[in-house]
Amino acid sequence: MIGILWVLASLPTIAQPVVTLSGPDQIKIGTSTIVKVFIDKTTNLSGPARLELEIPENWVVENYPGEIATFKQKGNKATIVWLEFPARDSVSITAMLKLSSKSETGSFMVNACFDYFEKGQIKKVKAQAKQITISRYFSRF
Amino acid sequence: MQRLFRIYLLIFLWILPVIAVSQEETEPFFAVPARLQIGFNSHIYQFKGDESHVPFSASRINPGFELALEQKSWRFSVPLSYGAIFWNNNGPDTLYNFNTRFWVTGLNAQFRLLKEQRKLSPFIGVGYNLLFFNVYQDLKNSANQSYNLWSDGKIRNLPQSPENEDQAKLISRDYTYETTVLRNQRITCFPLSIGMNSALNDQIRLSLSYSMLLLQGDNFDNSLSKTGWDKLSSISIGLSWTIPPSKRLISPGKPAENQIDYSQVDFAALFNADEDGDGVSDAIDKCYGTPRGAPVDAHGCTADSDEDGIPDFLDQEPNSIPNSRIHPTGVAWSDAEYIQFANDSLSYFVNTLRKTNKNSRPYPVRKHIPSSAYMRWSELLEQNPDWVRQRSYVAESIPAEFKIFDLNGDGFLSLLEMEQAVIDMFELRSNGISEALIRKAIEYAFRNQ
Repeated sequence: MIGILWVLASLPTIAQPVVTLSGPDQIKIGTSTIVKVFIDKTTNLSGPARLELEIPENWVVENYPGEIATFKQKGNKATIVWLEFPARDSVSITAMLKLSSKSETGSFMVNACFDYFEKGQIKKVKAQAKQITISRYFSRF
Repeated sequence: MQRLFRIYLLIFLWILPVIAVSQEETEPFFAVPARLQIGFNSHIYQFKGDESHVPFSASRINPGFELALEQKSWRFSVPLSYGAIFWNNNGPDTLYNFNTRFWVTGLNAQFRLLKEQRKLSPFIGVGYNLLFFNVYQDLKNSANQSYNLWSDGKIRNLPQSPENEDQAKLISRDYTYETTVLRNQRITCFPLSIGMNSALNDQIRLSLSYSMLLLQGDNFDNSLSKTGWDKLSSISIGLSWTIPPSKRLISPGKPAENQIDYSQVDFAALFNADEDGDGVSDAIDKCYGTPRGAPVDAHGCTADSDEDGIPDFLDQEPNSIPNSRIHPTGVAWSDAEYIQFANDSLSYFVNTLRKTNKNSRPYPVRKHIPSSAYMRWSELLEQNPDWVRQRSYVAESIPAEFKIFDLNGDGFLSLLEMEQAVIDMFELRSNGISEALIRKAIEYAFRNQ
């Protein structure tokens, strides 16, 4: 019984949407890769919302399969706007990113920030930044 | 009964790979690195022996530990669990009791019934385990006096006989199980399990399962009979932690296309996910949210032969003349008809789409066309201000409170303008505009023009 109580007590308290950003650790210049943002609503989220994806310079989102939302990329910011956020429990956005051959090598951070309204207030939730290393070659580790 | 268990086992072992093969993608099994997991769990046991029936009891929780490797829908684990069961029969004609203490280890395989890990993912499992156990009995009290059950149902320190009737004293059991009756025993068992995993986050998972351990022996309770093997089952609850992959460094100078480290990407989930259920995985689906059952092409988009923005299954004229102005039904209109249609208000357009869409959402079409028909219509209006000017009555109908969103002053609240308003709001450039007002304006833009 103590074990069960311990497990129940360890369940996390949920208060705001959870935004998870996933992608590869390494990318080779000139190739494409997939970055996925998963938004788990956990609350009665509705109305306008926005997701901003901050990507390194010279990256291009070459394929965003949009639903009732629009997508724009300006410089290193890709923005997705929902006039009415989908009603389902979670939304995932899969973006295909293309690295130009002019990209610099090194480690870069990809950030995702989700804006929404809650009780008339603007709320922001940031996903844990994802570090991606751009290289000319891949190697065995 | 033993035969029945064997039949169950055979069926189970047969069904498992069939389900697995039917669910697995064509992607090679080892294309994704396996994930190492450590788990701790608690078990309660139920036992049915020849003369005993020990029910599940929450007061007797036993600890367990496991190491596991997860690969796609499969999870292989090596458990190490401790357990103890007790039985006392203080009936009028028997003092039969036992305490069996055992360790379980072996190899288990779990198969997730859903393609991808979700918040709740059911699984089934099978395994090959060994039980190492000792059986103890309570045959003597703390004064080392043996229990002797007399015909009156009472326990005395001497065997029942006429000469002991005066000397025998009443004693009672101390429930210490001090006598080892079986030592270093081993039984093979085949656990069959069913359960549910709940992903608390990317790395921690809560699991609840029921397992039937098909014991291949009959002396688990120190009692042999011809009625069949002993039966042991368990309910387990546990937490497992997925060890995150280590950060790996690039060593320049070793070009190898096939040595990409995608260890932190759950590609199985990425490639298997198919939110709109159109049979095209999200990773290559160029059109999310296609309606259930609508025919789609290899890219997950509803076919649109004439590329007029209206998918074929809604298009009343699937082969309209290219670059025609298109009615929501997919029929090409002349310029005059189209302008007239524009004058008939946006609400007609949107409502027409909604009548054919139970989800109140327009259908996405091919990539090079805006993601919905009404968006295209809005863009055309932006690009052709002449059409807008002819709708002079619309300007008069916009409520004063929404005019702040009419950026180009054309008296028409387009959805593009509303999107800009939303962006301004999140950028804190909208002084004094409330969320309620912007929501009302969006609703107005959708329905009330």
